[in-house]
Amino acid sequence: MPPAQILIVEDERIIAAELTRRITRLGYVVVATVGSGAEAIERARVSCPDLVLMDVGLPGEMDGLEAGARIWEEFKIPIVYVTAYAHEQTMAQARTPQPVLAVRKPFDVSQLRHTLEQALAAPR
Amino acid sequence: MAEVSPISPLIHPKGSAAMLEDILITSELTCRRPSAPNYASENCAPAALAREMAVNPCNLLQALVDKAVDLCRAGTAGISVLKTDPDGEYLAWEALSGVYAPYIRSRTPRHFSPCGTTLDRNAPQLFSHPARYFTYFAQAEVPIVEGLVIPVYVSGRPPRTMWIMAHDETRHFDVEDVCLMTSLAAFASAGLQVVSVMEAETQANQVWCTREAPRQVSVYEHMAAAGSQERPAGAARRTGEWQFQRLLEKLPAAAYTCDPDGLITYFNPQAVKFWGRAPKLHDPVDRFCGSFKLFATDGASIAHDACWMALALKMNQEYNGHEIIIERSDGQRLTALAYANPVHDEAGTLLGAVNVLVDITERKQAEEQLQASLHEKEVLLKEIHYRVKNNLQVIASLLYLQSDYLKDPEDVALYEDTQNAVKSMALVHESLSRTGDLAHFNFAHYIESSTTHLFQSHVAEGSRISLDMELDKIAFDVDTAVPCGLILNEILTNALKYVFPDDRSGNIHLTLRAAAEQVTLSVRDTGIGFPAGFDFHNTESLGLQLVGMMTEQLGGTLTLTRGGGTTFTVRIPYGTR
Repeated sequence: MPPAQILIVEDERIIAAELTRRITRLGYVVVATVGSGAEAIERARVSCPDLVLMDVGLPGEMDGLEAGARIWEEFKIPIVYVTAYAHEQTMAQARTPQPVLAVRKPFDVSQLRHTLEQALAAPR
Repeated sequence: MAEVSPISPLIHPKGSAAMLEDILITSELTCRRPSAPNYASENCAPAALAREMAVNPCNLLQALVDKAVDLCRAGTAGISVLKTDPDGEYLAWEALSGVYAPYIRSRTPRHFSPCGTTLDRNAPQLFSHPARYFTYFAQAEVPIVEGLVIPVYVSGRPPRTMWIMAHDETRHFDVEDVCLMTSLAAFASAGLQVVSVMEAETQANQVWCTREAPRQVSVYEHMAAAGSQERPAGAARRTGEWQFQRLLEKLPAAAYTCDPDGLITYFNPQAVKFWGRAPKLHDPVDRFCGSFKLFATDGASIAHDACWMALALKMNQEYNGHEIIIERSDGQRLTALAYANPVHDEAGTLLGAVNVLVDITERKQAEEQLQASLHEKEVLLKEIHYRVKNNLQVIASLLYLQSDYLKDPEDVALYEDTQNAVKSMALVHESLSRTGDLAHFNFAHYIESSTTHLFQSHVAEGSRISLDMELDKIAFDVDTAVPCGLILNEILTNALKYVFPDDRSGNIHLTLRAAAEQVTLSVRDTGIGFPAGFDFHNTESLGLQLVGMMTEQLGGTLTLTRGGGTTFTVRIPYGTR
């Protein structure tokens, strides 16, 4: 079985670089790293990844929750959010299937691995 | 009340050591953080004073000073009036409440007193320990810490001052007290004006009250007169009705009366202003209230026959301090506190009801603005914590990326430790952005999430290292929480990395205890312990040096106990910082 392909959406390039390296070392393939919601939708359409790792606090008109919702509605690709927002209310606004999976910043590799495995194992 | 010698300006216990400028601290009022307004008590005050004016106007000044003590949490409140005798002008204390009440016959000189200074400057003045300059105050047993004096002017009457004193070193007056006192002074002014007019006009009729024998003008008299179709016979009854209407006219609030059927029998000019219209008297079209429309605070429409006045008449009971929204015919909405009270004759028969409507529209708007502003600040604070946390994640990521270029595993481990320290600080901001309260950071919650994070980072799955915790619920401020978080991070990291080598099993026991003015954080492990002769005060380990530095920063102490493992105990002052 080929390794799962993951699209990373994170506007902070340093954080995106750490995520890319950690995810690659976990055995997954990072298909692309983009920094906005619009780019994420476009890239998801082109690459059809198995999972999107989505930062919640994206710049511009479309935040990560909105971009995640649109990707799920259009392509049925599972979303794992990455967030520095501590509030449950923030994640409660997500329009992706329950349970909404999120990696909280500051993240560590075991938390990241566990959440990715959980998301990829979920039925689509 | 115990009799005491009045304060006399003729007695100077000691010479004045201070200058007027030393005790006059009015400018400080704008620098002090105002106390939270007590709208409920404040709103009740006008209605209570209005009732006092209606029932016993001669007692109005005493009612005012009693209210001032209550509303301003003052030690003493008083009203002084300017008088003259052969020795010259002086200010006589004519109404007193609180600690200095026994000094009712006291006087202070016009040109050497806080009241005189306030009249000279014609504006509220704040005095600090006035006895330092006005030394005659030292005669009083209880010293004055602060005094706030407001000038009161009434046309055709001698000037007065209304004042409050604090006798407690912890009580400091602020602009909120100035607002309250100014409102009460306005009441004093209105009340004195009414009494002035009454005295002048009733002197001719020889029926008005004197201070020595106050004649009570009751609502009953007015209602009895207004309720009957015929004009009541007798000078007293006519006078009662007239006096009552005079009082209601001067009230700084809307007031009206209804007969038992709800027909409006009287309204004052403020009611016309408030309603935006003048209803016809005794007209069934305007039953129970002269407003165009009525609404509850939730916006639901209220029929006129269900308003507070209607309830007071139907249920024959008082409805005081209830909010109601009125809408004028032009659509403008105003909020009022209603004080609807049924009125009975001596036999207990219902004569009607009186309703006083205190306009609180501006206050409600200010309250809403304040709430909106508070919400905005909370959102902003959470956003700041979010940004700090995100930036700390960037630093942790940077350290991770840099550590990729390191070859020596020990160097990599150092970078990992630094990443964990950064994450430990980020977790403080995580907790803060949840609570939003910088002064009360729940450290027990932080420990729970921090230890989970450290175990995930350092302990392989299936490890036999267990953790148990006994945590008191302790609220730290952020300045204590961050160093404490770092201390815990370093001690736990040290334990997880070094004291259980070769897959040893073991336990870490963590306690957080609060005792009198001290918090004790203790981390006990059952690991291999430190080598004999190890001096943690002179260690090369940066982690342990950090623990020492942070403990010192918090003004605490650090001890290390050996035997069956190691116990680090950090004691820091609590509640005294």
